[in-house]
Amino acid sequence: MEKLSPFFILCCLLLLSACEQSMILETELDIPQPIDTILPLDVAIFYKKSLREYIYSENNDDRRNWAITIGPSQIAIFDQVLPSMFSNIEVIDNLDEAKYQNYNAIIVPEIKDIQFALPYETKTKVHETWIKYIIRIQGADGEFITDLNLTGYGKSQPNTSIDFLLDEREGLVISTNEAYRDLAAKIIVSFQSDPIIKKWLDAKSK
Amino acid sequence: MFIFFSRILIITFIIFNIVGCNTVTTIDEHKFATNIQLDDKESIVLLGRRHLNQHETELDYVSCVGKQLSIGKGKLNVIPEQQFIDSMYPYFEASTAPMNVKKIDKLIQNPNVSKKLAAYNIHYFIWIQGNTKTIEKSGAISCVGGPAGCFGFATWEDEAIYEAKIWDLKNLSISGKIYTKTQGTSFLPAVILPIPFLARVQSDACDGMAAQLKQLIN
Repeated sequence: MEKLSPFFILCCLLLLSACEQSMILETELDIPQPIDTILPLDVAIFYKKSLREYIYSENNDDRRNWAITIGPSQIAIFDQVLPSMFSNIEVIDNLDEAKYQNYNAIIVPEIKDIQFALPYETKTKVHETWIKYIIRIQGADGEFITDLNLTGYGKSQPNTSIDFLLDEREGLVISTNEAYRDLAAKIIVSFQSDPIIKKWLDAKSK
Repeated sequence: MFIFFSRILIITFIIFNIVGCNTVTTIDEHKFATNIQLDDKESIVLLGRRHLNQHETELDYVSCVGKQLSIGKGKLNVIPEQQFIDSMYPYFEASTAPMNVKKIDKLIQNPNVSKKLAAYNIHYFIWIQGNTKTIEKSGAISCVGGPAGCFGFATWEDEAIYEAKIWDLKNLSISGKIYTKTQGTSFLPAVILPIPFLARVQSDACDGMAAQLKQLIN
């Protein structure tokens, strides 16, 4: 039998991989610049490795080889909104480091869950995304202040080309970015309206 | 045979043009303030309510009413919805927008929000809630060998219900409300070729709402 050349094998592998359905997406952040409502606080933020490198993955009959990179967009959300909320923001690499600094609070965000819904699953014409977050607020010494449970929701508009094309990628990019926008808005508004944070701020200002 | 079908097509076209696609619009108005006046330098902003997922006000309806208000006799200064929402981020998103006048009072205590609103010189917020839905469908069309071989008849009824609430930003009160309901039936007869006769339900609701708002705000 004649030996197959490596080039021929590589071409076959490429063709096979192209035939398999897969969804590899990198989401990007596109939200407006928030209106400044700056609280006079020195705040540190700690991004866990699980958040920084968060990739939503799924592999089943309906969603073959899904890998949606979420992590970098989460860092971008906080990088964009926190300067509009606090007078000083610093990113820390570990929580122990914060004990020796005079931060008023430390923020530790964590993704709890992500869900996607596709038009054929919900019998609607839209793609939908939910991102569930827990944002822990604690003192520099580790003292627990509160957990903010927030869900960002986004959907694609039905009157786009998605209607006809059913382009999964385009629909998911739009709905995920809308979810980021909603989440970022809720982070800002929650800091101004959450009763426990208000009480904590009042106690600090006395 | 061809002449026979052509005649049927022409007769169907004439009949549906005469009897079909009519819309009926009902407008109801409640004026709370004696004067809803806007001077030349002041603006209004129209915003759709989108906090209920299944009952969101369509972006194109809000933009249609805005466009109608900003042209013709008695035109008003209208700030485009998306431009306003983006510039006021994050306070007018679907999940964070003020649901009543009291909440807007609280919001304008934020000096940066108040400064932005002052730069727009907004006197009135107009919140639009409602949508257009198909409420009834009947008939069927079957096509054999592509669209050039269809036969049948389908009809559907659309209903557009919208309510506009006018908030006076300067006096922090509700100045008026307008309710509009439009119904219309569309037809799709198919004799060889399907020919749609569409009722302009949403655009009639838009025209009705805009005309009433123009009359109310002067």
